[in-house]
This record gives sequence, C-alpha cells and structure tokens, in this order.
Amino acid sequence: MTMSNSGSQSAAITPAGVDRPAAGPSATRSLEQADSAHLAAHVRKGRSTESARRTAAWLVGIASIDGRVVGALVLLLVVMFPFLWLVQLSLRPTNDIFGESLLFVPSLDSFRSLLQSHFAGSFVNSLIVSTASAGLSLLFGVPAAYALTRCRFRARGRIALWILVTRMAPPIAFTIPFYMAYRWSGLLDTNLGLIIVYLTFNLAIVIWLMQTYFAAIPQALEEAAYIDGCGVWSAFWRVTLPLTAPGLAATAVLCFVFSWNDFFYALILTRTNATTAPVAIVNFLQYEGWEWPKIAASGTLVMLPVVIFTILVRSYLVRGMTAGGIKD
Amino acid sequence: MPALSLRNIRKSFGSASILRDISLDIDEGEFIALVGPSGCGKSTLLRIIAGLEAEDSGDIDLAGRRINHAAPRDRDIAMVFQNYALYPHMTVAQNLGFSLKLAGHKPADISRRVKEAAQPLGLASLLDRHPRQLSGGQRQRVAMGRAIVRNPRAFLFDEPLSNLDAKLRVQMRTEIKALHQRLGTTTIYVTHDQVEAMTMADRIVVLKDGVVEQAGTPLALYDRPENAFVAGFVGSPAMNFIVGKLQINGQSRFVADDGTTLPLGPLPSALDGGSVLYGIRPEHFAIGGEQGVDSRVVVVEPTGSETHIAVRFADHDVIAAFRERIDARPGERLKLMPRQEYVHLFDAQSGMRLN
Repeated sequence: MTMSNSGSQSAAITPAGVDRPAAGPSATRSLEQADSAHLAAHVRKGRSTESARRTAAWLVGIASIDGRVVGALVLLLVVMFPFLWLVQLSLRPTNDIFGESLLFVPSLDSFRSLLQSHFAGSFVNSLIVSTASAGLSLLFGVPAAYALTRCRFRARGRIALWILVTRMAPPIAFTIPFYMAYRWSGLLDTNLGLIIVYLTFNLAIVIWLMQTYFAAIPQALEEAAYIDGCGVWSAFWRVTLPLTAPGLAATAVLCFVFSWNDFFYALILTRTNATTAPVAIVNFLQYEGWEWPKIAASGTLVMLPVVIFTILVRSYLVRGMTAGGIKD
Repeated sequence: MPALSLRNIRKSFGSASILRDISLDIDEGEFIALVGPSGCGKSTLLRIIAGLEAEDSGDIDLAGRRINHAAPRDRDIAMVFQNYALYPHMTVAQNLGFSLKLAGHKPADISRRVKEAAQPLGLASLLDRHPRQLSGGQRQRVAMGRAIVRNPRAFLFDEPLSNLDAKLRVQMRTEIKALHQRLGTTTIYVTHDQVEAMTMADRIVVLKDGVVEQAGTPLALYDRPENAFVAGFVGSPAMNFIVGKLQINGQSRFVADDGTTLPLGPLPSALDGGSVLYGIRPEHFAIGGEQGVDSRVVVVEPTGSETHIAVRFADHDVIAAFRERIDARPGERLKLMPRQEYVHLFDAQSGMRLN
C-alpha cells in the first residue's frame, strides 16, 4: 500500500461517525508530510540513493500499517461505544454519574445496590426461564429435526415450512391470545408461562438449525453403525448426536440468548413474580426519577451471559468434527 | 447347503427397476465379485444383503436361516463401505471395538480382540489416533479391521478401493485377497473394475441392468463369455468386435461388412447367412503370414511387457497386443490374422454366444 492510499483510507474512515477527529489519522498524515520532507532532504544531500530508497520503503511500511490498525481501532470503538459507555457508567461513583472525565475511581456501589433491589430475583428468573426453554426446545426439537432430515415422507417439506412460519409471524400476533389463555389458566406472571411462550419460537430455531447439522452427517456413518450392531436409536445416540455436538451447543446458546433477550412477551405476560431481567431494568425508570447507576449496572449484568456464550459458540463452530471419517 | 442364497430378488425405486429376478448361491468361504457398469444394481444388491435396503420380493437365506426381515445388526454380516464410514469422533481402537462393545463384550476382551485384528493390518501403532490423522490406505485398513474384528459370517465390500490411488489400490487388492485366504470368510465384493474382479474373486457375477449376465470363474468368463456384453466387459484391453455375416457351405467363413473374409471352425449350417459379431481378444492375433489381413497401423502403445497396436482392420478400429516387441510405426501396414481357435461368435441381435 502506498502513502497516499493509506491517507485516503483514514480520511474516509474519520468522518464516519466520530465527532472528534481521532488522534491516529491526523498523526499518520503529519508523519507522511515528515516522510516526504525527510526523503527530499535525503535526495538533496545526494546521499546513497539505495539507502534513501530503503528508508522510504520502511517509512511507507510503517505508515500503511498505522493506517490499517488505526482504522480498525476507530471502527471497533464506534461499534463498541454504547457498550463501553454503559460499562463505564456502571462503574462510576453515584454522585458523578454524568461526569465528563474518564479519570474516576471505579466503584461497585451500583452493583451492590442491585443486590438489595428486586433485580436479583428477576435475574434468577431470566436464568431459569432461558435455561429451561433452551433445554426443552432441544429435547423436543432435536428428534423432530432428525426425523425431518432422515425420513423422506411426502409432507416433509410442508411441515418444515409451517414450523418456520411460526417463527416469522410478529410476536404481537400471538400476545393477545397468549395473554387471554394465560389469564384463564393461571399461567400469567409465572416462569412456566414464559418457558412455554419461548418454546414456541425456539422450537422453530432448533428444528431448522439442527436439520442442516444432521444433513451434514453422512448417512453411511449411520449405516455402518447399523451393521456394527446399532438400532436406529443407538446409532443416533452414539454416532449422529456426538458428531453434531458443536451444532447442538451453538443452537442451545442461540435459544438461550433469544429467550434471555426477549423483552416484549415478558413485559406483557409478567407483573411482579416472574419479571425477567430486561423488564426489571425498565422498572428502574420511575416517576420519582431514573436510577441511572442501577440501569447501567443491570444492563452490564444482562449483557454478560450473552458475551460469554458468544465467545464460547465461536470457538465451538470453528472445530470441524467430521473431518477424516468419510472420504469425499 | 450354500452359505448365502439369494432367490428371485427384485427391487425397484419408483418406476425404475433396479434388480430383476436375481438368484445366486454362494458357497461357504467363497470370494464372489459382483461386477458391472454403474447403475447395474450391484451396490443395491449388496445393500439388500446387508439389510440396509429392503427387497421388493424374493428370499435371502444366510446359513439356512431366512433373513429377509432381520435388521442389519441381526444378520451377522460385516460391511466395508466405499467411503470407509469411520466414526470421526472415535479413535482407531474405538472404531474397531465398536461392534464388540455393542455386543456387550468385556473391555479386556475387546481390547485383546482389537489388538489381534490390528496387528496383521499394520494398525497396532495407530490405535490411539483419530480417523482424520490417518492416510487413505490406513483408513481403508481400519474399515477392514472393523469388519474382521467381529468374526462375522460374511464380509461385504462396496467398491472399497475406488478412492485409493492406483499404486495403493494394487497393494490393497493383494492384502484383501491375502486376508480372505487367511480367514476363509465368505466374501461378496462389489466393484466396477473388472481387473479387480478377475484378480481377486473365486467367482465373478456380471450384472447389467439388474440382470445376471453370467456367473462363473474368472477364466471361464474370460475364455467362454456367454454373451457379447460379458465378452466386452471382461478383459483389458477389451475384446474387439467386427460386424458381419456367416457363410457356411461346406466350410465356415465370416465375411465382414467390408468384404474381408476370415476362416472359422465347423459350425451348424443352420447359422448360414446370420448376422454376427466376430469377437477376438487383442492378444489372439498372429502377425505376418500370407493369409493375414492387410491392416494400417494407427497408434503404437508399448507398455513394456506388451505392445498394443491400434490398427484399422476390416474397416474396424481394433487393438492387437503382442508379448514380443514389434517395431511398427503409425501409417505402416501389417498382415494380421486372428487365431481361429480363439474366435468368439455372438448373435448380432441377441448378443448370445454361437460357437
């Protein structure tokens, strides 16, 4: 990459959403000016052109690396900004919540005060509901996905499509019927009620994702297992399922995250006993004032499992489990 | 009593008839090769024997027991798949021992039998590896080991060598044959490679369009093919065919469409005037001599042990093979004469053998 290239790249990045010009690109530009001046001096003085060329190449290299790294960092900052802002907000002392200086003594006071509020209970509710709905979705969805992949019956395609359609409809379409049914059956404001609602959309995810994972397992492996002494069930349990383990984990995490992130159903279908963490955060917006420290701290806590699971899934998905068993 | 007996096996997929009335008896310890062009139904037949595919009608008896409706695991048959089908998440030892584990053997017993099976296959040092860490030949051996370790009634091989390179294929061919000689287990081996079938099998079954064209020993198929298809399928380079008519008045002769006349042994006079295919294998030509048919050399292919010469003979493209080294050049003319005792005659319509 040439100097002018890297210059235009940083120039293109700078206006894209950062108010203050970042230190990086401007530094790069002044560096470039220094380069050319330096270079000109070299040439004027009539030193060995070879060494001048080498110096120039070295400086070009530095400049281009700088441009890319700076560009990447700026982009990262833009993307991460809301998250980082929230995290720093949660760590600020309560009396300096909107202070402008980044130099403050971090304190965990906001988190401590959360423990005394109703948020702790809501967080536990979220954990219970998300884990249970993810687990049950896998329990029902995985066998369904396997059957839809391996059994070639005529209505297969239509059934699979209708399962997907349930996921496509807007949640509001289901909310009123669910509300009425729950009020009648006493499931309103219970964890079980939310688990059942989340099952409806998580099942579709499990069935569709796991179908692709099962389809990727060669049928010859199951046939080999049949011949080695397996029945349909044991071949599935001992051969197919272990091979789809990474997909299974990824699907489970997705289900968990979808339930975890849900705000809409939880807002409508819970009141006091079964409120989940996202709903609890909104409850910090009260008539007497918005409790920013608690909002920031609870927001940070709610994001934590999602961040952890995303990192876990990423490393799982990279692994190629079926490598070597089948010659293509 | 045959070890495995198939009677009137039929199978269709939708409107496509894959197997039409296959009957076959296989003796204890026999090595049978099922051979034929792709789509002839040989793999389907193997899968029916294994229980992976259900026949539409017909009977399968294994050691006198009817196994039509038995699940694969209840048939006591082991199978080696074309793509190996090793369990990727298991080590070599676990792959080999999987069937024993399912059968409820004790861990110590499994470990002993796995080692016994691995030793002669050269897998003893690889037992802790996963399939992805093995070469193609090693994977093939693991697939074979998995079949051997169970000590089953029969081995089924589904084109096991088609994924290996040429050199390894020849090596594994010898190993499989040696394995069969050592264990003496009844073996059914599916291949589309007639050389594999010829070199390995006690008996070859040639299939085409779901029908058995001929079953017999390799040399019987080679020396007396019952029809033109088998004649053309078995042998490499393939048999040459020349189209023409029979002329029988006192002496039998074959007259090719271009008028070239070739002498024949005695034939029933009823065949006079019939349209026939005149078959002659490449190695059954004599060179030189006054009687020889004047032929133009097109291509010369020295293989080292043999010289293959493609010639224009009686207005047909024909390959002749000679053990001796022949210094022929493209464009030259040779006098070639088929050796009369090796001529095969087939009916031009039905393809059935006439002599």
